Amino acid sequence: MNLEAMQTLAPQITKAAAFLGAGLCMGIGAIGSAIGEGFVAGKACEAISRRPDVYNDLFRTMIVGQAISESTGIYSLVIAIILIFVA
Amino acid sequence: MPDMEYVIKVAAFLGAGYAMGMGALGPAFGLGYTAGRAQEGMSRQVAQHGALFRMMLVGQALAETSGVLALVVAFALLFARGGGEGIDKAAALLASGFSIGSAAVGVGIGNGLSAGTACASAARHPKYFPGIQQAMLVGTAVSQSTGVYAFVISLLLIFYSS
Repeated sequence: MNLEAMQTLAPQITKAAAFLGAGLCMGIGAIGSAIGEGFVAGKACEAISRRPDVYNDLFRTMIVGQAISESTGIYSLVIAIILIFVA
Repeated sequence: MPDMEYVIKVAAFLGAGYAMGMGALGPAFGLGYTAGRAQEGMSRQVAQHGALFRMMLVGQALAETSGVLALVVAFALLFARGGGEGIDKAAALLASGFSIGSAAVGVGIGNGLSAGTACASAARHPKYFPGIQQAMLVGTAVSQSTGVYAFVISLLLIFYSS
């Protein structure tokens, strides 16, 4: 492939890399965050069955813990959107 | 230089295969885990069989969602790829399958953990069933959200890239 052909292909290849990166970013980023949140929800159910009298505290802790665990998923989403629309 | 049309097809097929293959792996694990924990609970509280069975089905339906999203994306990759030509379109289709496929692994396992543990907990104290069910539903819905993000990114990659 000569230099001119490579120069015309370069923007396409850059876009292709950005799209691939976006897919990888959101896909892999979601794995950990989702497993973590599910783990929190399960443990919260277990805790509620053990101490239902502090249900409200346990529920609130579950929501806060999940929101924090969610943050990495949201970082992935933001980076993926940037890769798709900006890069 | 191969014809771009074929490169795009190859990418779409690979993406669809990855999406549904991985999209089956996670939810299937989650469903199995939920059913297993529910069985454990039923053996402990034989009288609560009906309520635990219902809870198991609700939890499994939630854990199944990410698999269905992966199926939708796989169908879109096979039959409705949108327009566009060039290597960037091919990469976008491949990445679309990768996004929802990988996410479905995590979401399926996470939702299964949540639903399964909820079933086991409900069996331990059937009295507190409503509270446990509420926590399970909310927790699973929150855990589901990352799967929805991945679904949105997949659709963007398919239809925005044209």
